Amino acid sequence: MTQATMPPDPLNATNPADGSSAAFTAERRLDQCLPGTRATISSVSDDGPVAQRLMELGLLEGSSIEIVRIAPLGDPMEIRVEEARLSIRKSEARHIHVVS
Amino acid sequence: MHTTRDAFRRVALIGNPNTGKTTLFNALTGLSQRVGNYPGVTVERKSGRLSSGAEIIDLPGTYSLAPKSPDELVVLKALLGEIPDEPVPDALVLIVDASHLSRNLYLVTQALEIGIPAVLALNMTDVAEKSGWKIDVAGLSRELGVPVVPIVASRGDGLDTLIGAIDALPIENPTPSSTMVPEFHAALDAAASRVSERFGAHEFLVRRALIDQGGSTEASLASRHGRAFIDALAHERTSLTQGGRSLAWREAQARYGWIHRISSTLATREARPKSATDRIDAVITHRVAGLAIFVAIMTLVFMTIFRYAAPLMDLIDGSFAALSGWVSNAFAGSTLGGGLIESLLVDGVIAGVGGVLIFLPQILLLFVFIAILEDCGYMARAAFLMDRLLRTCGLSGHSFIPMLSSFACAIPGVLAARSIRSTSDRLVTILVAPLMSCSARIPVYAIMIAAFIPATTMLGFLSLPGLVFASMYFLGIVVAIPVAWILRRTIARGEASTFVMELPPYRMPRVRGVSLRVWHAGRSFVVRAGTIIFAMSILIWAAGTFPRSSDVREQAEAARVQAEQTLEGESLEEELSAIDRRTATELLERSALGRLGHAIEPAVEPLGWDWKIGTAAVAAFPAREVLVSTLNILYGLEDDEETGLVERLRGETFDDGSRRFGIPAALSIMVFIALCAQCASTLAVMAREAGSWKWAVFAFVYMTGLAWIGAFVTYRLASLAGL
Repeated sequence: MTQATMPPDPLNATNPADGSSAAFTAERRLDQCLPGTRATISSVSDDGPVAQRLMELGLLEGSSIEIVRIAPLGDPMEIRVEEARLSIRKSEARHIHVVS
Repeated sequence: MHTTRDAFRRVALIGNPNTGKTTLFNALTGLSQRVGNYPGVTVERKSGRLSSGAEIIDLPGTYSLAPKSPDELVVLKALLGEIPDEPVPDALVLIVDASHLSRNLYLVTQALEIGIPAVLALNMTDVAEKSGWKIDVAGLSRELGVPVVPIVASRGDGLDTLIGAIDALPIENPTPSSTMVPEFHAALDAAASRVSERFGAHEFLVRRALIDQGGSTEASLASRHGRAFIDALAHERTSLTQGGRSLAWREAQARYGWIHRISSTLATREARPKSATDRIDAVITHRVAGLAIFVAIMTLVFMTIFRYAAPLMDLIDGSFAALSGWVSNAFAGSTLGGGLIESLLVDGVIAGVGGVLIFLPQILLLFVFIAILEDCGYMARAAFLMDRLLRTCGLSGHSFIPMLSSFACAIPGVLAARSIRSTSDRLVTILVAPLMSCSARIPVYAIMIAAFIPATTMLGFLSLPGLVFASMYFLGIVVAIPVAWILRRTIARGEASTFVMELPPYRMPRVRGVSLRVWHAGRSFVVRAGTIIFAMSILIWAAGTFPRSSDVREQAEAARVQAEQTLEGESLEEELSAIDRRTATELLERSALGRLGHAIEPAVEPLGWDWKIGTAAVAAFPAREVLVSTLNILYGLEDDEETGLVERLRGETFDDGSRRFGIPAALSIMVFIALCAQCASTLAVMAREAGSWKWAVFAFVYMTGLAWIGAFVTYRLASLAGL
């Protein structure tokens, strides 16, 4: 169970051109993913009540997740886990790492 | 052993948010509902009667039994019988949304571990079927060990079967079943029973406190058992986790492991088609269209509240005027005419209660909108759109509905803050909600604008009165942002607000659900008007009536006698009513209220006011709109003819004959009313909801301070600008 993960290079992650090529190799933070991304959760690196709520809602290691959209004002983001649509702030999404 | 239907006296209804729990509750109970409060916390307690006579309690919606807010803690404590006068329920109805079975089963697996006989209500099976779900009901029942009843609560399908299943439940409690890994479960049980024995706390609660580090259960137990309890928990946790993953992580893994195993065969579906919700959301939360639709919906809400409620409000106003007239007439024939009792009824009770009930149409309309927008799923999207904006002042999208409601009336706004999970967010929302311009400010804005703001147009299309009116609304919002920001960093510090929220699928609102919400909101408002406002009206009337100066009354009597001797016909009538008005003004000036007004004159003079306006502002403590009616009395007018008061305000002069009031004074009064806390019922509700009178006192002090400073700055700036 890998808990500690290296955050990916933010420049790469936010750049769509590089993001697509790096997507298959790099693990990255959920808040740095672009709308339309489908990925699998690799780790939830926090133990507080917010992380517990996310786990209760089905955001577990191994769950498939889709980034649906970012709110018009840039935050929060809408994600889909199984059938549920969730709103989650980028600050909360930071604790979730995904691989494509 | 089977039992009769009398055996189940108390049934608890629990489920995730957005599972149709309230719809089921409404369908089962209808108008037999009773809404109250759990003792000591501001969580609503909704109960009703089943057709079998049993009481059914609608517990707040929750995703799990790991509480993170006061209402979720109530669910846990209610199921364990840990709330005073609330014994353990005899049966549970667990409601789940058939399209979201896996996630909903999480709470179900936790609830079944308590060991209360339960029925699973599988709701919205019609929607699930349409989107391709195939659910093996018998298999699900076998795996969970409880009866499973498919229902469609909105259509009433399956409710008879559900009630039958509740009645057929065995009376004795089942052996709690656990979906957790046995070794982990055993170790957890042993730790929980050690701590529970030492502190005398409920074992299930202790188990939750152990797992839910930083949650509400831990905080609640720690406040009762102190530091030693926290230390004991920490000790047990260390030995349970042994440096590995947290207990919360292990619980989630275990439960979802079990759920995924059973649901992979019991709940299957064909390929997911793009749902209507996806298509609607592509527009509703679109970067440009989404914000435009948001603005359009808000404009529609406000237009309706302010424009289309007017005829209804006039109707109420007219009825109360007719009632006053009828009471006065009734007294005219008796020896009590013109006396204290008539004045108490007409000027105190009818004027006071009527002045508040007039806002009922606006409040009902607002609730129609809120109920529709919430039921169809739009409110969650509005919160999603607004979260970033509210975060700038330390709040979250959850504060959006309370703020919106406060534009009609702060009371439903403060009550709506109950849904906010974070305690600090909730407190700040309650404290700033009254800064939103509610409808009670409208009469004051209207009369000041009519009297002093010239009806000119700017840039060819902006009407100046309209602009001033709109800027009063913006003032509240603009002031609330820094106030919330400061409060969040000082007295209401605490964990950073979070915004993990479900965006439910769009659904057609139900007439029954909407009308029940509106009915409850209207009823509680009328009850409040009939109690708090009724009492305050009498109090203000008494302060404005006593002590009654006998000098003034003797002089008035002498003047009347003289007039009757020297005048006759119409001129006598005119003179007599002029004497009455003068007497009323002089009596008021010598009353407790009038004296208070004179005493505070030095404080209001820098704002450009005279003692009369000062008195009116103080008298407006029960409700802001009382300012207008008090000014009417103070300026010696008989009734609420606004043009009359407008003329009098304009005509008021200094001793040297120059005009007493102008645009600066009018703006200063409006700014004061926009920011002050002159609303006794809001303060009373704030005290109850925030849990202490000290918060109401705090709100009153900070808002009055802000109002005074705002009015002072406005008056000075406007005077300097030569307005």
